[in-house]
Amino acid sequence: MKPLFAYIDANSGSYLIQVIAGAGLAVMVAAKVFWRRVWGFLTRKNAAPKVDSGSSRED
Amino acid sequence: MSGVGVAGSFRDPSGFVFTREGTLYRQVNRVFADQFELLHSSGLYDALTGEGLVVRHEEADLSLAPGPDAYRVIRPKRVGFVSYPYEWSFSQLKDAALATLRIQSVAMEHGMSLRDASAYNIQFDGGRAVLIDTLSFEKLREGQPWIAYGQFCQHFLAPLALMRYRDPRLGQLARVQLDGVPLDMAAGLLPFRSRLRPALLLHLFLHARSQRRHAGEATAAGSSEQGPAKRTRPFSRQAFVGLIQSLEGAIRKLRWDPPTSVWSAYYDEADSYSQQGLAHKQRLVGEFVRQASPQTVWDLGANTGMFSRIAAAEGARTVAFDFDPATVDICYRKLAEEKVKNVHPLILDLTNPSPAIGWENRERMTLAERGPADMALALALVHHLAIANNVPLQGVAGFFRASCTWLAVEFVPKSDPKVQMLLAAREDVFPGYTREGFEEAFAERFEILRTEPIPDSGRMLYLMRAQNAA
Repeated sequence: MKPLFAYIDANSGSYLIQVIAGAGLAVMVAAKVFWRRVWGFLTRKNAAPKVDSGSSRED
Repeated sequence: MSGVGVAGSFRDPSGFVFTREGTLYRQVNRVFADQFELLHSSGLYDALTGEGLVVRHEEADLSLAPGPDAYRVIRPKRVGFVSYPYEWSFSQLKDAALATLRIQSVAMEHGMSLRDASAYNIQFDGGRAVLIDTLSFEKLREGQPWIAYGQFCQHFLAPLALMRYRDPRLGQLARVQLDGVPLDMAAGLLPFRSRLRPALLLHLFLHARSQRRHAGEATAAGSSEQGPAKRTRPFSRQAFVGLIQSLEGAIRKLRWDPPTSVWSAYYDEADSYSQQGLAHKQRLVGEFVRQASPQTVWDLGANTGMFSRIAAAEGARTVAFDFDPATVDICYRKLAEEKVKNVHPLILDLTNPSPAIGWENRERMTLAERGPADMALALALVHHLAIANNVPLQGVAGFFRASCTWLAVEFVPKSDPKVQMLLAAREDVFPGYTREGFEEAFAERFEILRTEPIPDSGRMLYLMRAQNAA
């Protein structure tokens, strides 16, 4: 245990860990958004025949 | 007549809560004027109240303000029963954490942010976790990380991880750690395997290490230009979104299920009665509640809430207390499934009820200060207090008298198998534990209105009304 416990403020550590992790977290969000777009594009493409043969809101 | 400040509402310079002639108000100070206006003009207040995530408030007359510097006075909707994190089960704390993160996400969409993430700012109303502190918001500081991150991890993530990986009873740590579980303490108590969860590794273990390493240094959020502020880069909006999503993932993945034995007990709650005996007891409890027509009911020793539901079905706002975190968790989950909104399950050991804690022992109320209830149910409870915990029957009656006006109480005789189980491991030093002794002790404080036997059990059910009740 550190001395002078009463004077220790943990906020600086909370601040810095966010800044350090921030870049990685931002990349993860970007990757997630990118993947959703790809997935959305692929599923739209696959769903297209159904739209053609059936009821047609997207037509 | 001036207002009376609520004892737990003094830390925030933006305003405080007070009561006046029994009505709850909140004074908004001038220093918070811009943020308060932004809360409304940004559409955040409407968005959050629309989702049921923040308590609604109405504007009140500014002349009601008891303090100087008042900008507005608002009248928030009052929640049914104030409860504290150390009285919540795992699922309740988890829902409170998820509500806090959802509020933060919505706030960011409206250009605002939570400036604190205290679990005490959350209450349960209508079965849902809601934020009660309207003054918790500030304009989003572009390029800055979340100021409430450390507090969120201490108030929610650390206790949930401890309850998940060590023991659900560790939720009680909140009683002694008023600003949440210190992260170094949580990191020391958690098993090694919890580090294999990347989100826990980051938000708990590395976070704790960072707090230790950089304790006392100034940051860009502080006033000094010294220290690590110089070498930090702006925190992008995408990083902020990533942080909240990562915390949400960490919380969602923390799952704890009550042991199978407790689940099976849920379905066998009635094993002390014949089918006919249980049906009769349920009918009697319903009749007693209708006769008392209470607005508030405390079901003391509620187990998984079978009788709480009966009181709730009669329209009473019911609090279901039990000392076992597993049964309370099951009760909470089942009530959510059944969409029962007026039963609030809570963890409480009646032999050691929640004390007054915090600054001047006035920040968090005792159980007694949050009562009395119009009616209490004490079903299959007295033998636990009198025999398992050696509380004299006069003391039990005195506690109930302080807790309620109407009382539905069950007496379980010594011949009952459940009492025999309690006596199996201890000397019978309870000669006064008889039906006559019970009635004598309770008649000192209550008028006994009805006495009904429960078929096939030897147990008796009483309806009592407090003497000298208004």
